[in-house]
Amino acid sequence: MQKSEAAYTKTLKQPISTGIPGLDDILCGGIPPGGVVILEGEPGTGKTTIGMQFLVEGAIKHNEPGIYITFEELPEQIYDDMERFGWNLKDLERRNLLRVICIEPEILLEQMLEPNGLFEYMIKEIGCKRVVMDSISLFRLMSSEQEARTNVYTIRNIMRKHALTSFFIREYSEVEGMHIPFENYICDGIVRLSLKPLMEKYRKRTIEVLKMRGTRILEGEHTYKFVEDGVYIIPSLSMAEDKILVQETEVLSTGIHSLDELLMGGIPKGSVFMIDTNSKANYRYLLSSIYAQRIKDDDCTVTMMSGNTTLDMFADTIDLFGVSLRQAVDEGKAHFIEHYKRAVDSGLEKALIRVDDVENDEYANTLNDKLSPIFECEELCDKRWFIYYDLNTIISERGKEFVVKYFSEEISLWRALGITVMAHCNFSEIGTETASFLERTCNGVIRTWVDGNYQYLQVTKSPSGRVSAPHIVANISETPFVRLV
Amino acid sequence: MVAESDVITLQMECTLFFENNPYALETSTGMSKRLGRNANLIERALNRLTELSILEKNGQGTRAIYRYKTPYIQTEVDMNAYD
Amino acid sequence: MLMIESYFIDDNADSCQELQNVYAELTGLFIFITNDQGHLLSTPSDAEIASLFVTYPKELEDSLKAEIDKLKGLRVTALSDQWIPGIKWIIAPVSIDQQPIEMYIWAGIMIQENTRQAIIDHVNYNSPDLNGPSEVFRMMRERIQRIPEDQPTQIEYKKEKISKLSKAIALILKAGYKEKQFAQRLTTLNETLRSDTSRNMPIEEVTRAVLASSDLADVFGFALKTSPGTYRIVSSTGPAAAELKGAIFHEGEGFLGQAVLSEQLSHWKDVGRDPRSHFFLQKGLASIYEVQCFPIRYDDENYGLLFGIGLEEKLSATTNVRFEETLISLIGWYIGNHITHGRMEKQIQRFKPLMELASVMVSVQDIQRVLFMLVDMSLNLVWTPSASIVVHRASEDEKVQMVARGMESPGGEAYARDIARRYLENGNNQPATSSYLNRSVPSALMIEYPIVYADKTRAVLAVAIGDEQEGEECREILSALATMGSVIMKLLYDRQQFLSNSNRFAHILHESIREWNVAQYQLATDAQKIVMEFALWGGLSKEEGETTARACLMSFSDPKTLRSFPHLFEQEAAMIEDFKQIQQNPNQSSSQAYCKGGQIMVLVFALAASADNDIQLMNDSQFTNIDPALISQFRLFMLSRHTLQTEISLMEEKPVPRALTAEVAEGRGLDAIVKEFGLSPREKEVLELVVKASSNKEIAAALFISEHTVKNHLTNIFNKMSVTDRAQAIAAVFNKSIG
Repeated sequence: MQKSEAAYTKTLKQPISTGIPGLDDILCGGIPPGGVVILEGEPGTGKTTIGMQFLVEGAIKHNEPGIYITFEELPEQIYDDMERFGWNLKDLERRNLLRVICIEPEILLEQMLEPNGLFEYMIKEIGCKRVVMDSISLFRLMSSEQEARTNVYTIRNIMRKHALTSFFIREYSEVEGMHIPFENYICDGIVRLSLKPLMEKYRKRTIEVLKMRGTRILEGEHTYKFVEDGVYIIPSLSMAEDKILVQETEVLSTGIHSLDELLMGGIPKGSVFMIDTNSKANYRYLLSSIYAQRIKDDDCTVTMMSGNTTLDMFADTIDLFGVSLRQAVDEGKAHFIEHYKRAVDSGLEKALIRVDDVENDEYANTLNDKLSPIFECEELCDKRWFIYYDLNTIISERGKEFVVKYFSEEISLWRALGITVMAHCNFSEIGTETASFLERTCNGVIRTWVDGNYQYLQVTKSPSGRVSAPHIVANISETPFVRLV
Repeated sequence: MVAESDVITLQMECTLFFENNPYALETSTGMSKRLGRNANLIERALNRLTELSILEKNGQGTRAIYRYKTPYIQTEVDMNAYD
Repeated sequence: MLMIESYFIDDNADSCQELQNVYAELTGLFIFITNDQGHLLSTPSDAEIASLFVTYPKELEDSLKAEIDKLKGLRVTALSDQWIPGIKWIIAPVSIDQQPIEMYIWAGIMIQENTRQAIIDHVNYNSPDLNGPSEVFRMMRERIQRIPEDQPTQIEYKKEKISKLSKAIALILKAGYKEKQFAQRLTTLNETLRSDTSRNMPIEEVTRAVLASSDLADVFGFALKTSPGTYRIVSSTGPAAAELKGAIFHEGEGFLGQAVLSEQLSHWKDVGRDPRSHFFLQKGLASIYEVQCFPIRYDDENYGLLFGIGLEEKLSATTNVRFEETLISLIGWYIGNHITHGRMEKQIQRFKPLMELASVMVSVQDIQRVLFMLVDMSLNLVWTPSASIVVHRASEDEKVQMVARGMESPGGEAYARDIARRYLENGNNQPATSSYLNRSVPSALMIEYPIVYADKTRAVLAVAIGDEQEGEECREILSALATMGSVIMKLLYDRQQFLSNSNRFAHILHESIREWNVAQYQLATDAQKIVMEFALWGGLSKEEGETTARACLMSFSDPKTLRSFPHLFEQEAAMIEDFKQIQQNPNQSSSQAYCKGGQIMVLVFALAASADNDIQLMNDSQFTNIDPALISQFRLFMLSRHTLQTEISLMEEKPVPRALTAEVAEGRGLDAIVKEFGLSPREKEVLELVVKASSNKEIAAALFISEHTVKNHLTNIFNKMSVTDRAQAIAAVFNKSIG
């Protein structure tokens, strides 16, 4: 058993997509392979539907055959019930992508334990990858607590041994909820379905992931609904839009662990993020951390300097994060756009693109002329590029209209080049219309503001559709000097 | 004494059950619960179906498991091919 | 041996004793009766003699036995004078039929006229050369001295009388014997037929037991028909039983073959030289004298034969031939009845379950399941199941589908092709109607049933059977199964045809209004969508939902037109009529109830027509003529529809409900549209704004392009999506979105 335990942990890496719309988002990708997940809920919450959807999606989209084991419900009932979602289970059975098996729990256990028993035979017959067992509550009913625990534990181990990612359905009622059922300790995850009262007479369906080993989860209750082709989950506080980058696995760390978590790992490469700060908010460490992290990760950067920060000041701040700006400049990894005629250290001058005397009409071309050779420079063209863009500076120097016109064009160019952009702006100062335009143009928005005695931060838009709750920004003494609580 | 027709009725009920639930794995007691019929009679019917090769029997006695043997199917027999 | 002595009891013995005494009186002789061993059976008529027997039983028995031995073979009454010539005894054997003599009547003694002195003077008189107690001789001598001498005529007369006595006693005993024998026969029969074991015995065993106890013949046999014209001997008793068993004969051949053609019993005697007896001699019988045949028939059908063979001519008819003949005939009838009953029973045993399951089977939805069912059930129904196959031709191409058990590759395919060519070819315009016994399949006798529906033979069920006889017997039950199969397949076929037709035409009718009334077209589309949602939500069954949805699509068509599609739209037409009537008379409550579909249409169209897709519907007064329960159900449905949308809008930062509601829905819808119609990113942005109900001007402003460019984009989008206006484009996005 130890060996398979180890093998199991080893394969944890690639999560198994459940295929249930929204659930993978909540699970930040899916279930660890070979994981055994409890799916619990009261009658009528859709356990069977979600279980079967997991198998159907696996069979159709991922070519992963599955077995649905039912102890009490007859397969013919399940075939019938699932037809309303347009799932032709019998056809999947014909194609050896699915089996709906009914069996008595004790017989199943017997056959699982028997070498080359019927269970193993069926697993091999179709190359089974996914299993749903409906329901493990039966083990509790047919034997003592101790035996039931042993049995469920045995079955879990057998699932792992065969690398079967599985849902164990469990009947759930509030009474049982009084003490923690043993399965919760044995299994890798718990997904709970509930019917919650809503607006007095009506009830809404919610799904909550209580535990999931090996993956981060979006906590809290999420609404789901039965739609034409199964269950559809709407992750809470999210907008179901702009999912272009959700599959992008490469993310750029912000250097702030808690912020990376909110962003599911970081800023997706090639996306455009906006940091919206109000006047009181302290964003220095936030931006510096993001920038320093780029240099640390050996990325190349273009930074638009703002009016209230000189390059020397910037270098000093970055130094706090253990990054030498001068060295970065020397390696050609740091470039700056300067709108002001400010003198700099001679070592840094070569990294400056001065645009103080460039007219609005010429701005785009000038910048393009200067940046293109840098982007296309041989040593650097394989590097990831990161642009920090201070929109406040552009607005004050070139006007709102210019931003509106120029920004979207520029951004589409950078997107095309796969460059990650972090823009900084104060939405409250530029007017609703421009703000909403900018917000639409960006893939993600991080907002930070001061309210009363605290500074808050919230991801209000992200490519994954995920929106975070507001977090308090706390100052800490070591790098990155901020932390989200 | 049990009427032959009762056994045949059970045989047919069991056959239909397995046709509708082709991947059911059932013991005679399990079937008896499913169909609400006497277990001894069910066992007789199940054993006859095993003789008819409609079911496959694994194991012996009350722990024996019966399952449906899918008939031989060919969906693409070309009428005009010659043997 | 008749063991006549055993019948010399009770009333029989009394009668004989009485008779003996009467004759003793009549003849003046003493009379007694012994068996063939000299043992005394009656009480001698003379007390003195009787006492002698008491005193010397053994001695007398021995001397009488010695006398009997000398008379061996004698069947008539005789005079004996063995002691001294002139002293006469009458010895009368009691002869029953031709059986060996088992009983003798003794009467004595007589002295012939003028011989008394000579007797007395005879040397043996005082010292007899015969064995016997002297007391006996003393008594005899005493009698010789006192009995009168008889003239020869008198002696003859007495002899005749004793002869009569013998006959009378023979008659009495014979009657007793027959009675007793008959009773015994009946007892044996009873035991054979009534015993608990025989009740579960196969009919062959019972028959064998009954025949074994009959002495009508030396050899008995029992033959059954195995196929038309052919019979097989299933059991036999007596000599050569093993050789006879299993022997086959045909109608018209030999004694047995001729007998099966007759309804009556057949009897041939003295057949030693008859060539027809060859059949039996060949089986090892040394010679035969007579053949008796009893047909096994019931209801004009011949099932077989019982036969008896006498090896030699019977000299005496000790048995009740008539009785035995009747008995065996009855057995033949009984077997026939039994077989008929058994066959009927077998069929009834299968018909009953088949009928019970018919209702379940009719609900089978899937053609392959029907094929499985035919194969599996046919195996359950035949007597000796071994193989079954169904060949089905679903399509017009040259492919057929086969489902088989016990008949696998490659033989199965070859046979399936053979069946397909014979029954399922396109050219076969005349569908086959009856079953066919196919003898040409290697190693199996197949009975084939064409399954005909929609005017064509579309499938064939073929089942392997044990022999032709079995084929005869299972024909009906299998035919019932095949018929059920055809009914179910026809139902499925019709349903499929019907659905595809009705959906197709509903669609065409719907499309036809699009040309001249886009608004109505759209309204119908929306209404249909709402109905489907309502059905999915659980307000209608799937079937009701589909019908009502079709009615919505065709709501602007004339119901009369709809009825002109034969059978296709009757329900839909009725719904539309009711829908229109309710709409036209909104405030009059009608006496007659409107159909559910019509009522739902009223609600659905009200919802579809409302500006924000949310009728303020729910003041009930608005809907007279609609079932309040239905209204409240519909109200629930609408709320659940809104629940999700409301929840989401609460979560948005900026409360702009209309736009955001659309935004949520568009998530899936837009992506799907972009993918399906290949919209460019810019076009997607435009469409996104269209869906948010922005005007061209607003779109232009938002995207920093001219209104003219917006129009160009829109034209391209509409072309790509094959829609004519914004409403349709929006509907398309909604159609692709949640719920």
